[in-house]
Amino acid sequence: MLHRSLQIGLITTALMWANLAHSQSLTVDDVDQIISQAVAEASAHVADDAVIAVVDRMGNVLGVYAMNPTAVPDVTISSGRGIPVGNGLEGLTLAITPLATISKAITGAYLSSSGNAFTSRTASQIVQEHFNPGERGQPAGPLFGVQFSQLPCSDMARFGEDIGGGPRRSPLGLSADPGGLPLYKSGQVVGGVGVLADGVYGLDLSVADFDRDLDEMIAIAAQQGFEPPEDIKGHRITVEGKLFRYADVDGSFLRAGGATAAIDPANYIAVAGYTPAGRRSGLAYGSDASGITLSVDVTVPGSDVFVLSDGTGNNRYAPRASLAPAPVAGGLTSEEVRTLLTQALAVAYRARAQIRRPLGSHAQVSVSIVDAEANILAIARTPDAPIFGTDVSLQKARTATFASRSTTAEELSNVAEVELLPGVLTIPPLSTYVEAVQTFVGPTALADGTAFADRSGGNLSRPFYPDGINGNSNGPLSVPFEVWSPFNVGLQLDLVLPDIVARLDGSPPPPQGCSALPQSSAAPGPMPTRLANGLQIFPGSVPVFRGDMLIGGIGVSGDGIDQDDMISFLGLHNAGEVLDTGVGNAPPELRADNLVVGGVNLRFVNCPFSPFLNSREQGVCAGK
Amino acid sequence: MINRVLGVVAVLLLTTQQAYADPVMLTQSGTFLGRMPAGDADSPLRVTVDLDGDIPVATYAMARFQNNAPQLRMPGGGWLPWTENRADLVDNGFQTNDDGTLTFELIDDDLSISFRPVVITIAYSVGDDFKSGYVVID
Repeated sequence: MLHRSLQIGLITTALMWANLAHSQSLTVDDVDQIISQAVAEASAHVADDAVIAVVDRMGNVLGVYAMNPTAVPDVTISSGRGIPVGNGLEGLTLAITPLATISKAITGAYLSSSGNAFTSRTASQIVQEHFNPGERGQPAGPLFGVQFSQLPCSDMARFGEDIGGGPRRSPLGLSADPGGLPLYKSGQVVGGVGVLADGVYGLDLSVADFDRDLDEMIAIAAQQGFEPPEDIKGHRITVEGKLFRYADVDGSFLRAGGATAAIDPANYIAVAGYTPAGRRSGLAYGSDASGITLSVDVTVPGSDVFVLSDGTGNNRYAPRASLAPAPVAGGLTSEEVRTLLTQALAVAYRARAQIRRPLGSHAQVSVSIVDAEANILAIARTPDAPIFGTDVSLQKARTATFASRSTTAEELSNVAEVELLPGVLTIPPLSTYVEAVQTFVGPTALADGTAFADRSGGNLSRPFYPDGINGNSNGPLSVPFEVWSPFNVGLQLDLVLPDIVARLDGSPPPPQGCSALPQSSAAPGPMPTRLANGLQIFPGSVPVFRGDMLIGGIGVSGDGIDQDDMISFLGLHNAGEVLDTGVGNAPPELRADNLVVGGVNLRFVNCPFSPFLNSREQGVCAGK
Repeated sequence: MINRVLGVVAVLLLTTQQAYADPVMLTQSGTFLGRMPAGDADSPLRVTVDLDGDIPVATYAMARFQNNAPQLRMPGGGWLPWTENRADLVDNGFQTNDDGTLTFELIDDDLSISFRPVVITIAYSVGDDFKSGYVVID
């Protein structure tokens, strides 16, 4: 009876949530209003070939409006650092302006929540070689590498031209080009708007000034009436004592003064793989149809848990047993996976959020668990976790697992050179990176089963080693700083660049996901590759061990990186104590923080000071 | 439970028709057999495989949907949820032809395609190995 009452209670809560969420979505009239405000501002700047995209919170494309649909201009990808063509995406001029606007709109939607409103300018601030960009001696941006998430080749992200469950893929990943903003209704994120009118898909190299960025001014105009609450805008939130940047202009800078302009419905263009011509209404986040909804089968006492839904009431990633290795061979059982998932979420509910307002909020994150061959064993989240963390938590879990295998060097070395654009762009064989790591770290690196957290691999992926120290050489998984930018980072991009370029025509992802790495051997193919939604290089994951045997990974994303580290590390530690089956963090002697590279120890995890609400505990990860 | 699929929105009836002009080879890493629009898939999925001397011990067919709801095919053509665990696969009993080929005939099977694309994998075991190939129905 108790169980039945609990179920009824959960279902009732779910219905209440669904009703609440249902009122918070973009209508067709909303889309038209957003576009008409953008068109008015663009016209005031004589930006008559601007392209504007609107998406819902789950990344469904609601409309892409081309002011001049018969001559949509090309776009040049450039950091502005003068890096020549032939270095990643730098300098390429492509007919992908609509895709770029979709990526910008998704960035605004995915990075934001009811507790924080971030933009593509915020993204620019947190993905560069220093935080803040250009501040010599400072470590890299806290979300260094997040731009290569939500990839169009992902095995997890949903895709297609229909309106349906998300999270949806993003054609270019997340964007650092100002002009991607979130859209809000009644304090709830309902989507994002992205604008491209200046012909450049770039970033902001300095937060010391206030730009007059055309794309951003048009996006600010578009957003009128759909602004976030002032208190949650990025410029009200600090990390490392530094305020985030939300935008460099506000409504007072608009030439059109927030006016609307007549729009032609025929200018809503089709974008293959993302939207048919025309515009449509969005889905309400939290409804079953949206693809993320309240869970009735994964529970944390006293707190709601959300999961990825298939639209018919089923959890896409309900906890299940490991496929490789199987439980009989030491792999995680379904009960162990469930315990690990709920213990991590329980830590999140206690954790003091870094990036959310009001102060005193708990962290809002996504948690992913994979087995030793990258098969997804579970994904769940707190209710208001930013959407981007769904994909990123999975990337992190897979990255920690992959990097901790004893086959990593061999498997990377088997990925051959790719001549992507003949005579223009060649991706080196990935053995280049393996050789660099083994020269830098030691001859058995990536082949001896050392346990790498994402933070450890991230140490090796920065354009300066140690991180942020100007004048030093690059980490072995990065390209040299002379040619480094968020569009040319090294291994992270080279691993997936062929997959990204192959999908600029909107084609679906390959069934095995991103990368040319081996697929899981659990069953006949196609099965996920080792990094089926890409590599991630900022902290928030640890490998999962049973004794000294690698059996998987856990990844966390959505709050500050130290919080994400703590939730993964402590969640696993606590689960191990509850289970008492040998599951836990890597034995200390196997961890990458034993490696002294260039006179500096790599890091495994960093846990925050005074991390919990209603507690004065310190050093919560020490000795574990 | 047989033919239970998640939210049957559309039904794919695979009727007998040769999908490929020549026999295809299956491999341990999985052969990509191509993409097929859903409309075309209303016709046939019959695939003849060149065994290249292999003597299959068992034959299998599996489907994966975009909602991550893998299913396995039973010998009679019904489909069941599948754990993605190799040990849980069920022999479909497709027989070797006299010319050393093997034909997978997925006839009149009901498959939900509400979460397209669906990836249909055909496979056989030979010794301890699996050889497989897959077609993507968009």
